[in-house]
Amino acid sequence: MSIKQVYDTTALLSISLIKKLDLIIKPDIVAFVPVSVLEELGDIDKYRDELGDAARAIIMSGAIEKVELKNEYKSLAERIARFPRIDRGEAEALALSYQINAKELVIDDIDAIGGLAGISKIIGVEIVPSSYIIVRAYLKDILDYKETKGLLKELAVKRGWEQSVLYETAIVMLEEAKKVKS
Amino acid sequence: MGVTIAGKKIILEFPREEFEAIEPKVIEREVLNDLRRLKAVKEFSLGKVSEKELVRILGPEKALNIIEAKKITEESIKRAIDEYKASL
Repeated sequence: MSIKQVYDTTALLSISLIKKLDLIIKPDIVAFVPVSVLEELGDIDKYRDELGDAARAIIMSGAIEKVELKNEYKSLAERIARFPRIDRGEAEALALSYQINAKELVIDDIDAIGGLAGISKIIGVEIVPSSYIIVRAYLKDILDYKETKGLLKELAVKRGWEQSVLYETAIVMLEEAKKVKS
Repeated sequence: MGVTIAGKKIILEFPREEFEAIEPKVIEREVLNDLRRLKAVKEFSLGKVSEKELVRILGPEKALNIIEAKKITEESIKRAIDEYKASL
């Protein structure tokens, strides 16, 4: 059975930065984004740096399906976007998760995770970081242990001090996953 | 301004315009603050810094978001591990 996931810009960029977009086009995952996330990626694509390259790779990959928000969910997104430190992309991603009944919303923005934690529980959407996608791939034998740890370490370096908690914690949890697998 | 750890090096990313415009004492303070935050988050992830201590170092708002981020990471991976166990 496939899992419906909605992605925010930050999580897509993380996965693209480590060149693992193939992890979100596996048969058991269907990845969706709201229009604003694609627009954000289009803005980042204009930069000639590592993030610009990562954004371009996502747009070119065809790994994600763009979905328009229905009017009532647009209105919900507008209200969520008024929360402190929640941008339009994150608000639309949560509203889209609600609209399509997605199981998971993948976000790597620390402030958005904190800001959306309460409302996501109420609407029954699990907020997960990209590091979960990577460790899940290890549990499904798509990645081996060494590669998984290397990717998490790479992201901890590339994504700055705030986001490093997502990858450092995942490295700790990876050890637990390794024990279960052996 | 941003401080990251890459392998055995600590890298400071700092736009040249800011470097030329900001007072040396401010630069020193910001770099040290970024290093403290980076170390605190790393040690919090490893369980070496408590939630209470993190609030002191980062301030309540940022600390709460970091704490929530750690929680959702642990819970989501725990769920994936449980699913793996159930599939055996």
